[in-house]
Amino acid sequence: MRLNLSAELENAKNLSEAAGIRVRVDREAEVDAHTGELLGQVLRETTTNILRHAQAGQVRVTLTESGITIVNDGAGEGPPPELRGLATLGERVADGGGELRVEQQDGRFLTAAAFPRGRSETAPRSGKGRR
Amino acid sequence: MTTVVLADDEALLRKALAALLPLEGEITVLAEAEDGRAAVRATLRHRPDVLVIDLEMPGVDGLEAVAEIRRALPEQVILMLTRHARPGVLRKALRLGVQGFVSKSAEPAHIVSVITTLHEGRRWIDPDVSALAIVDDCPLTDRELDVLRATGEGYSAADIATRLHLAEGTVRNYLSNAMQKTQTRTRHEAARYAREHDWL
Repeated sequence: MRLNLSAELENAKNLSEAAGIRVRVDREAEVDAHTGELLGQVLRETTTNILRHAQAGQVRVTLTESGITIVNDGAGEGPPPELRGLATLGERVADGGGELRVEQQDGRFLTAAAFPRGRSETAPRSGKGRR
Repeated sequence: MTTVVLADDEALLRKALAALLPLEGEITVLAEAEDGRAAVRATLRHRPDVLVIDLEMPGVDGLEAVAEIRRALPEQVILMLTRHARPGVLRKALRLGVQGFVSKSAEPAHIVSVITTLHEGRRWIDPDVSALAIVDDCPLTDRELDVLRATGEGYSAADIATRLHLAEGTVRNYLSNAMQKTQTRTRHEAARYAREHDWL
C-alpha cells in the first residue's frame, strides 16, 4: 500500500539522519494527493542522490502548497553528479504540469519541483503511474 | 589495490565472487567467511580495506556481525549485499556506519566499482534500495506505535496515559505526531492507517 508524502518525508529524514546527515524540514502547507505523488518521486530521487553521491552534512527540505525544495551542502567542487534519474523525473514533473529545477552552486545542490497553483489538478494524468 | 574479506553463507555465490572480483578489478580476496561469526573473526584477523558481507545469514546475521566488528574496528569500511532488504534494514545499517549497500542481482563489475568507491572514502547505495527504503519503512516511533495500538483497542487518551505511565499531554503529542505523519485527521484514522500498513 502506498505511503503518503508526509510518511515518505519522515522516512527520508530518518534515513538521511542514520547516515549522519542533519535534516531540517519546513512544512508550510499541505499538497493535494496527485501533486503529493509527484513530489514524493522528487523526494525519493533526491534523497537517493544525496545518500549516494553527496558528502552532505546538512539537508533542508521545504514543502509549500506549490512544490518542494531540497537543498544540500554536499555538492563539492567537481562536476555535477550523474543526473539521468533527475532528467527522467523532470519529464514526469513536466507531464504533471510542473517544472523541475536542478542547480549546483557554491558547494550547494538544489532540487526544486514547482507546480503553479491549481494546474496540477487539471493537467492530464500520465498513464504510467505507480500501481 | 583493494583487499577484501567476503562473507556469505551461500557457497556458490561467495566462491563465484571470490573468483570474479580479482578478474574484474584490482581486488585481492584475503579470506572468505561462511557465517556472521566467521566474518567477525576473519575481519579482525585480516583487517581488509573493505568487508563485503551478506545481510541475510543464519545464526549471527550481517547486521549483528557488523555491529560487533564496528565495536572493535570503528573505521572498518563495509559493503553490504542484500537480496531483499526488509523495511528499516538500510536505516539500521547506515546507523551502524555501513558505507555501501548493493543488490545481489548486481553485475560483478558493478560490485568491484562500488568496492573501489568505498575504499576511496565515499558512500554508495543502489538507488532502488534507497527508494524502496523510503517507500516501505515505518515513519512512526515506538511510542507513537504504542499509543496507536491502544487507540485501536478502544482506549481514550486518558486511559492510554494511565496504561503507559505517561502524562495525558504526552500521549496527545504522540497521537498528534502520528496523525501528522500519516496525514490523517483523527487518532482512529491514524490507528487504521498504521494497521493497514502492518506497523502495529
